[in-house]
Amino acid sequence: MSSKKCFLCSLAKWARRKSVWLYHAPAGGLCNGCDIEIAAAITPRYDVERFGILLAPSPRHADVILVAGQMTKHSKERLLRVYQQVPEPKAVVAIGSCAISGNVFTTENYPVAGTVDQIIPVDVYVPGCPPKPEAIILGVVKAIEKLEKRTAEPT
Amino acid sequence: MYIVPLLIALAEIIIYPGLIFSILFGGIIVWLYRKVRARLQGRRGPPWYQTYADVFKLLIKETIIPLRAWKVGFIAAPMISLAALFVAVLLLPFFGKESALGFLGDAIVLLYLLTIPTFAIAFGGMASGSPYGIVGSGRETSLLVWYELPLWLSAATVFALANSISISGIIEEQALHGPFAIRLPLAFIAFLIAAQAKLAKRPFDIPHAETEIVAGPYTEYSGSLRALFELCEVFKWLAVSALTATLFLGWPVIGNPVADALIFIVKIVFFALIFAFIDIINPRLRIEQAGWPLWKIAAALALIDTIRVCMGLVI
Amino acid sequence: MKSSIVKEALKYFVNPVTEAFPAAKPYFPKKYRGPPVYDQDKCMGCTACAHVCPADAITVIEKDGKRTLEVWYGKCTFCARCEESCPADAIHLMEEFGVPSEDKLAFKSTVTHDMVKCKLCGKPFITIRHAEWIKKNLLEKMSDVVGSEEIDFFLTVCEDCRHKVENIPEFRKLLIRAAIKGGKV
Repeated sequence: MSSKKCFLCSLAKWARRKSVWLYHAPAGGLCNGCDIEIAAAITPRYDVERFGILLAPSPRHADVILVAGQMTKHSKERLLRVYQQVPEPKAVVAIGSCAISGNVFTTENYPVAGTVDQIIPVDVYVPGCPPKPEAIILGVVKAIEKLEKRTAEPT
Repeated sequence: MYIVPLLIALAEIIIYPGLIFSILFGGIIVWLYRKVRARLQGRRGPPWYQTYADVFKLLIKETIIPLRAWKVGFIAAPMISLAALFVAVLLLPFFGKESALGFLGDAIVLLYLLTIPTFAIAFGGMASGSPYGIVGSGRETSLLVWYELPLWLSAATVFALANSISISGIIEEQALHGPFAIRLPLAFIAFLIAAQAKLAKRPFDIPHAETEIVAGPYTEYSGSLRALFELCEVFKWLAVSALTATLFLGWPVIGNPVADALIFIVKIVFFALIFAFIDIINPRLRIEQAGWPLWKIAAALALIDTIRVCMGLVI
Repeated sequence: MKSSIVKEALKYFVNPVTEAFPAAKPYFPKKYRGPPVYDQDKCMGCTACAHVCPADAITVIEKDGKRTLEVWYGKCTFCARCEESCPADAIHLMEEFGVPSEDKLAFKSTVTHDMVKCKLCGKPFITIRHAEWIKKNLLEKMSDVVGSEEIDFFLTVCEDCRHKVENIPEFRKLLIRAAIKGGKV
C-alpha cells in the first residue's frame, strides 16, 4: 500500500515538473516590454516547449501566473479575480522591476495602488527592465521548485 | 465456458485496442504532431512523454466548477465525449479486417459516434455559463454544419462503391481491387479537408481559437475535467486518422492479424502526419470563411465522385 | 512551393536555431545593460549616482560614521545614468542578468566608506575618499586661487557649521572688527 502511494506521489511530482502551463496576467500599468520578453521566451530561439512549458489561453488551465507591470487601481480587483481563478497548486512570478516595486512610477501617483505583492502572494521575483527571456525561464524554474517543496509538505 | 470470451473481450477493451494502447499510442501521435510542428518552426520540440505529463498533471490539479455553470451538463460533457470516442476506437479495425466490436452497419455508427464529441464540447461550452464558452460553442456548431456535408458525402461514395455499410466489407473491397484513395481521388481530398475540420485543426481551429475568445468552450474547465478534454483530443487524433485509413487506404491487407495490425498503425501515423502538416503550414480561417473550402471545394469534389460512382465510371 | 523555402525548412528541421540555454552560457549582445555593480576600490561615495537615478533605486544610508550606497535592482530601470554621471568610473552595468530569487531584497550591490567628522559639531558629512579627491583636483586646477589651508577648512567643517557666519575666518575677522568698533567687546 505504501509503495503504491509512493509511486503515485513520485509520478505526480514528475508530471508537475515536466508540464508547466503559464498564464500571463498584466497588472495594469506596463510599457509592454516585459510582455514582449515573455512572448520572446516562447520563440524558437529560447524554445520553452522543450521543457514542457506552454502558454495557456485561460487562467483556469494554468499553473504559474506571470505578473508584469505596475499595480494600478482599476487592475487591482481584476488581478485578484484572475489569481482566484487559477486552480491549486499555483505559483506567482513577478516579472520586471515594475512588478517588484513600481520602478520609476513612484507610489505617490494617482493611478497607482501599491505593489503587486500587497494584493497577491508572490513566490519569485525576477529583476530586470525588461528581464532577459533566460531570466524569465530561470524564474519559472525556481517557481516550480518552490511549488514542489510546498506540495511535498503534508498539509 | 464464458470465461475465455469474457477475458478476450476485457483484454480488447483494456489493453489492445482499448484504453492502454489508445492512450499510449495516441499520446505518441500527439507528440509527433507537436514535434514536427516545433521542428518546422526551427526549434526543438517537447520530449516523447510530454502528452502523458500534461494529462496527468491536469488530472491532479484542483477542479473548480464556476458558480454560474450548470453542474450536471458541465461535468457530463467531457465524460460523454470521451465515452463516445472510446467506443469509436473499439469499432475501428485494429486487427486488419476485424475490429473488436464488428457488426453490420458499424461504419455508419462510427461516423455518428464521431459526431458526439463535437456536440459534447459545444454542450459543455454552453453549460459553463461564461460568454467565451457560449461564443465558442456557437462557432463549434457552425463548423459542424459546414463540415458534416462533405464528410458524409465522401463516406457515402465509399459505401456505394464498396456496396456495404460495415467496415469489414469496405476493407474486403479495397483488399481485392485497390484502395479507394486511388479509385475515388476527389472524394479522398474532400474527406481530408472535412477531417481537418473535424479535428478542429488549422485552418479550421476556429472553435478553440486562442487569443480570440480566451479558450472557447474550454475556458472554464480546470483540473480533471480539462484532463478529460485533453484525452478527448488524443482519442480524436487516433480515431479520425484511423477512420481515414480505413475508408480510403484499406489496401495492403495480408491476412496475418499481427502484420495487419502493424500496417494499420503505420497508416494511422501517415494520416496523422498529413493532418499535422496541413495544420502547421496554415493560418486560421474566420468562421464565415470556413464555408468555402468545406462547401465550395470539398462538397463539390465529393459530389462529382458521387455522380461518377452512380454512373459507374469508376475503376 | 519554391525550392528555396523547402530547402530552408528542411535545414531548420535538422538544425534548430534554439540556444542551448541552461546547458550553455546565454548570449549577450554588445552594449547589453545588465545590473549595475559597484567597484569598492574606485568608488568615492560622492552620491552622484543617487542624485541622478530616476527611479530612486540607489539609497544612501549613513550610520556609525560610515556611508553605505545601495543599488536595489527591484527598482532599477537599467538606464545607465549612474554609470554616465559617476566621476570615479566606479559603477558599471555588468554583462549578466539579474538572477531571480524568492526574496525581493536579495538583489543589491552595496559599497561602504568611512566618513570625515566635522571638527566643530562632530557630524559626519563627507567620505574620506571624496574629500581627498576634491583636495587633489582643487590643488591641481585652482592652486593660484585657493590655498591648502582653506581647502582643509572647507573639507573638515560640515556645511551647516560652514555657513554659520562666525566660523568663516574672514568674516570672523570682520565681526571682531565690527564688535570692537561698536563697543560690543
